[in-house]
Amino acid sequence: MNGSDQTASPVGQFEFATAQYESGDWDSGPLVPANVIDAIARYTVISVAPQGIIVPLSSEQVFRSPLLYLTGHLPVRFTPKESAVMLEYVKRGGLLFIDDHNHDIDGPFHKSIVEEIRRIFGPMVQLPNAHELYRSFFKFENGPPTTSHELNGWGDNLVHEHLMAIMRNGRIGVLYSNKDYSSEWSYHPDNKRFLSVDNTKFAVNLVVYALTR
Amino acid sequence: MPSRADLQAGARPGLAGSARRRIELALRVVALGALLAAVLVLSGAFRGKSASTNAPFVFRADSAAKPGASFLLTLIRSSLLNGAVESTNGHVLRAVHLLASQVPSDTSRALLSAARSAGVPVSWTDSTKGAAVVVEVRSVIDPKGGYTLRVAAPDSTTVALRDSVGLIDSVMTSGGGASLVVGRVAGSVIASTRGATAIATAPAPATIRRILLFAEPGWEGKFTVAALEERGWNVEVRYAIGKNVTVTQGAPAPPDTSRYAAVVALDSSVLPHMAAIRRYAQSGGGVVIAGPATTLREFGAMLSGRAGARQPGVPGGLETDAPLVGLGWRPITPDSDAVIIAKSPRAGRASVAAIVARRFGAGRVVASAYDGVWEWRMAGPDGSVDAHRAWWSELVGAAAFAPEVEQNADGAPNGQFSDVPGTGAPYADTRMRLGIATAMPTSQPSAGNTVTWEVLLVLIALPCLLGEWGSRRLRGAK
Repeated sequence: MNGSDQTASPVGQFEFATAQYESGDWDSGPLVPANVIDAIARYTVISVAPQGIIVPLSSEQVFRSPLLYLTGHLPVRFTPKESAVMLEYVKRGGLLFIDDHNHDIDGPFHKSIVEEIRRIFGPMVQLPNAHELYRSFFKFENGPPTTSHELNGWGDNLVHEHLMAIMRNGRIGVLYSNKDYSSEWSYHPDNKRFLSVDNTKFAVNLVVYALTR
Repeated sequence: MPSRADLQAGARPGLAGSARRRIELALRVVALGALLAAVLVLSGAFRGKSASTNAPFVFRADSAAKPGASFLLTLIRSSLLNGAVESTNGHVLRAVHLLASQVPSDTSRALLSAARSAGVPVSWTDSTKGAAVVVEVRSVIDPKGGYTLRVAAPDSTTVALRDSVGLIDSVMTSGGGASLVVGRVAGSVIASTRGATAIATAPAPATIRRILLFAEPGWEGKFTVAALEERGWNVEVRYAIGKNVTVTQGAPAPPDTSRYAAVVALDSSVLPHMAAIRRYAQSGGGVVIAGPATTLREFGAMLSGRAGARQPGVPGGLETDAPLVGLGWRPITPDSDAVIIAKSPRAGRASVAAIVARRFGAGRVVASAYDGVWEWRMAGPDGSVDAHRAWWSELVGAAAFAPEVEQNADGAPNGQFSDVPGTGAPYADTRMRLGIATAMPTSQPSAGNTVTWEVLLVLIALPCLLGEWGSRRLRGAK
């Protein structure tokens, strides 16, 4: 993962972008992009860049990456510039995927990010488990797939049944997860062969949804 | 038989009395002759020999109430009804000249046109000081609706446009016309300028059908669909996403004009459907070929030009007043029969275009050279989201199949019609029917001022009879 210039990529190629923000630890899931990219290349014919990119949340570069991944453990407070860019980004049709790396509703990231989302976008709504996100490529009949962190009782010791969202024009503008996919997908892609069920399949749904809806 | 005065005066009249009798006789002969001639004229015995009947009738378009004009119209009407233009009521319709200080009524135009078609030379002198103006109203093929008002008039003419509610706007013509897009039109649209008016009835709103889009999953497909849906189009999509895996939106069906207004092809994912799209276009459907799809040779004759190699957008161009220069494009060298819809400032003097169109069968195919138009929406200046929506909607609307007028059960159109052809643009209709205006013909009597021969003869006969009668009474004769 590096901060390469977006224009250097071939035309129409999908690049997985991680949002870099000034507060907190934006780079807490360094292996996630490679794993998601591997899943995209493995299951689809989507032309995907082999490496992800890092996009400063306060820069105009955000607008060239219609899917942004944002995670962290620490308290978050977005700068006015970051807040304005995020709002405009979602208004124009971008999809911001935020994942709580703590899997803890009492954790500092969850508390601060929910407050920030409410401040910038307004209150989130519960995404129905029958939403097309769960059918956009693979089918997840019961909504968002559980993570090993949930099942092992780490963090808040809860299995979160739903994801939360900010909707814009009938589409997901902000998708928020307490399920800690950042930990779930944080391993080297070469080790995926040791898994009985590929747990990055939901990432494929997320990318396909972002690219088609 | 001698009168009583003759008998009282004696057997032989004097010299003065004899001359008086000869004068009376002469007056009697003249009066009887004039009356006989009038009867003969009325009966048509001298038809074709009168100098006045060889000259054209002249009437004024602004004097419909005058006897001359109504007389001429009656004459034309009865001539045509009788199947002969040479004889009616003793008058010969050799030619007609119209003096128009205002545009003649539709009835007058129709009659003059009919006379002209029947072989009567019809000319006219234009002193209306008006300008030819024509207005057309068409539905905008866009879910947001609206109407395009197109005006044709001489250059630099200010044309006022109004509908049943009031003034809509005014436009200044250049290049032979002007156009205006308005949201609503109430009733008919009237275009007026310098004494000339034209009228057009707004058609029924266009029937907006679905759009079928073919794309690979990516930003271009996603934001094209978003733009069209946010504009109000109903979009069905086929994304080719994996080996034999297609992600659909809506319920895409084979392209057919009964279901789809247009098919949009963004890339090579359209290839498996090429034959169906060709049939669809030939049967009247609209096709939009954009971006990488313009390089697909499989489109063959549907493409109206040859797309060149991709050129990247101008850095920073998206933030300018012409944001499209900031997009990558594949300049299209148009075919000779292609219609160029838009050029790019980047083309310079090169004969390449950005958007071209052509007829294909009964349908229309529009090709856009721009690539990655989604960047305009995401990275453009304020307002670029709306601009991106409008751009895509206009592009699709340029190709879309959208029947404007539906038929009633009895087959009559719901929308526009007029009682007389040419009601919509009377001045232009006058020129079309009567030809180019000419100068006033010399020494042509006006129908309204013509003193006819029978009147003249009667005027001669009456004083003669009065004189003869008075003379006889004064000398005591009966």
